[in-house]
Amino acid sequence: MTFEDYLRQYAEPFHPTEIESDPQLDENGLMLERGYYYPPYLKLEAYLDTLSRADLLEIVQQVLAMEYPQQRLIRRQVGEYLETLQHLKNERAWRQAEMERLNGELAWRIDEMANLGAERKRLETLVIDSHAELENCRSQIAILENECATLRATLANLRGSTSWKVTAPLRRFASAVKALRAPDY
Amino acid sequence: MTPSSVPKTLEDPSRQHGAEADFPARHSPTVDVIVPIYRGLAETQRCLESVLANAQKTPLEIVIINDCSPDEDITKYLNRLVELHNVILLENPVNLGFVNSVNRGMVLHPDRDVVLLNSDTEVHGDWLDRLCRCAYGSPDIGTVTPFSNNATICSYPRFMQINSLPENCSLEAVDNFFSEVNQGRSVEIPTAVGFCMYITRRCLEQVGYFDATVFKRGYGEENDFSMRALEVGFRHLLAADTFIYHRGGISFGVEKTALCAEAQQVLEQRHPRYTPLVSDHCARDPARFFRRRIDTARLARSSRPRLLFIMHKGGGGTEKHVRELAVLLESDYEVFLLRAYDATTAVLEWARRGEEFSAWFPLPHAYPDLLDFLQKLPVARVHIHHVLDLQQQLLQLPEDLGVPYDFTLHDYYPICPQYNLARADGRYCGEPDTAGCTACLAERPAPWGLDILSWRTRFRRLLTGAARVIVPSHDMLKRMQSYVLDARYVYLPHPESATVTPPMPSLSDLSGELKIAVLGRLTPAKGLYLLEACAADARARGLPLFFRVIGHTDRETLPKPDFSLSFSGPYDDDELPLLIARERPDLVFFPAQWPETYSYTLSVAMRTELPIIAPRLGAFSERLAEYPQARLLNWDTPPEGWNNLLMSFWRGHDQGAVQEDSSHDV
Repeated sequence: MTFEDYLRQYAEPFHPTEIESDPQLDENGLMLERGYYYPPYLKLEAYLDTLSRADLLEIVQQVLAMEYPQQRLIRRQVGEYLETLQHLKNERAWRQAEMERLNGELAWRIDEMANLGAERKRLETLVIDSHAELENCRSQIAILENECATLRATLANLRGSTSWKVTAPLRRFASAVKALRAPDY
Repeated sequence: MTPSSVPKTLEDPSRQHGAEADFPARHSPTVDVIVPIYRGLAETQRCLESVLANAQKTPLEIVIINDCSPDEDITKYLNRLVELHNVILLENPVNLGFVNSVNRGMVLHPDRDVVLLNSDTEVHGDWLDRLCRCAYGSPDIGTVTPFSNNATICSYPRFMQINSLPENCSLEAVDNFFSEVNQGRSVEIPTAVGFCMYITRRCLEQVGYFDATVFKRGYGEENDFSMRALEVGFRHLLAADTFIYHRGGISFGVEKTALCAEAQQVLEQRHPRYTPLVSDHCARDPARFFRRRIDTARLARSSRPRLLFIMHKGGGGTEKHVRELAVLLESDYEVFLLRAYDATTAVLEWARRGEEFSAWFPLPHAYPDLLDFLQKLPVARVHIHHVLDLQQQLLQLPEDLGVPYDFTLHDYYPICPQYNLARADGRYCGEPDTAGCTACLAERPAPWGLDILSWRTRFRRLLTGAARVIVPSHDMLKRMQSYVLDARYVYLPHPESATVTPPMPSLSDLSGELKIAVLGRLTPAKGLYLLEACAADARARGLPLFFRVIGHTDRETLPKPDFSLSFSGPYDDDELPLLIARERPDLVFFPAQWPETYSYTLSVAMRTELPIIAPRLGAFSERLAEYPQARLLNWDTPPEGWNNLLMSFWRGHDQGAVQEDSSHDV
């Protein structure tokens, strides 16, 4: 498709005359903040530092050219400016240190959390294991109780049986003989 | 320290000139405007007439130095000028060179400030008064240079570039913008620029004249002078409120490059601080803000409707299309381009050729400022071309701006976050169901942390809300309609210039080794793996096939010397027809494994009229339907099948040994 054909079809719904054009006369309203015009790869901080030096030089030159009272005023301003700068730099350093410390603490806490998580997992498994064991024991007890009841019933049956009763004198005699044979202490 | 107590000069890197009352005593109120002349009659006439036509409050005298011009017409013209106007003409009996001529002019009146003006410049308005005001803003100012279209660090619109005057702008209009918008503003620069420099007499007295021994012919002498002035405490300013036209390169022509290099060497030896100072200035570019003020003023007064294009970081067919469309529209519209810059920044550019305006918006926090700027422009229509790498927030721009928008589909991004319907190995995925797409996204997640359903829902809303969804091929239209049926689709193939294709060398008799050209940057989806497999198969079977990729790949390829595949390297789009002609291929092969939506390289291939082998997938089928020499196979044909088809073009002695897989032919 040629450029002309494309343009004709492309621009059909919005021909320049159909778009309401409202040229602004206030270019100041259209100006963005200075920082937006500089790409991220330009080191703005370096830019500002350099500016400060250039400006300070200019001020010093102004100071040299001025009367004494004005000199004092400007000197004080420069002093204040430098002080503020130093203060801000200190604060930045302190904040950086604080940030590093907090980052360290955060890392430590994240580690700690991971450790605690692992511990909790281990304990959870332990609880589950204990539960299983408990269940196991309970079923063992039930089995043993069952067995016990069966044995008791068998015993009762045995004791109630005629043969047991008939052989009672024989057992009594056997016990007497055992007692006689036993050594005296 | 409160803001009010900050000394004024700390608030702004630029300076407002002081009132003239602060001037140190001037030796003489008159300024000499020194114009050395050697060649270029028309330019010289325009220059001198512009100086004569624009009256100044500052008293001035024009000092013309005819440096023994070889052009008799120039000499005649200058002699006539002297008769008609009150100008001083100094004639050098022999050619003394630019620097000697300038020095001769500067010593003429040893109490006057001077302006050195090249003979290929044009001035406007009260240019000298403005330069003069700037020069006397402070006693330590040595030189003042105005803005110009061609003046390295003082260039406008593009910094460090040779520009022409902005489109539809006369010198008068541009200079008026500068004088109004940047009134009284200046920027400190490391060196003056010689096309037009105002030098105060105080500076000349302390620094001396130009060094004619070393810089006899010109170039570099003003930099040397500027450095010497810096050493004794003078400063150089760029007057941000003055613009002077400079054509450039008239007197020296082609010698310019050699002269510049020579001067650079001398400067570095003499002034080790020169290069670091200039580099630092370029890196900071403090005058950028004033260039942007002019751009903004020009934009504010442009009556053309504004369009906003949105696209990814750039590159590929999308950028080609976007740039071409912007050029097509620039006579009637102001086109802006918003594109991804990095993970957190979007950059807004004025897409008009020759412009520099760019603004970087860190998102999300600068979104309100971006929106505000676009509303104030005001943007009348948005056209989304691609949103890869952009912040999700920007999808809501058309809605927030409340303007209609178009969406051109350059690939399948709205339905496939991998954008090309291809698996990790580059092969067409066959468009599986949601579960299939979810599995694919598990391996290669979608941007913005969206799952496939949320992704398609978000884009469905965007597509159905568009005034037009432009698709460049019917195949794509059909595929898209199966996902988003109710969008307002418009079929519109990409426009292309009917560029003249260099004549293709006559075909070989096809009996030697067949040379197969593959065009473009090869990725797995574009068929890199298939091509390698074809080359491997050709070697294994001893087929006389040689694959030559006119382009490159980001992936390391097999370095074996006997492998019949090689890459020519990256190229500019405009060079492609020439590169193809130079390679003299027998046919062109498109091994693409994804449904191409258009393919610019296919257009170039079709213009060569060579046989084209391509897969029956995507836009290839419809675009090659009428092409006489096209042979298409199913996209998933194994390498042996492709090689068999390629071999069917071979007319060598043992042709019969290879069986053609004609069942796939169209």
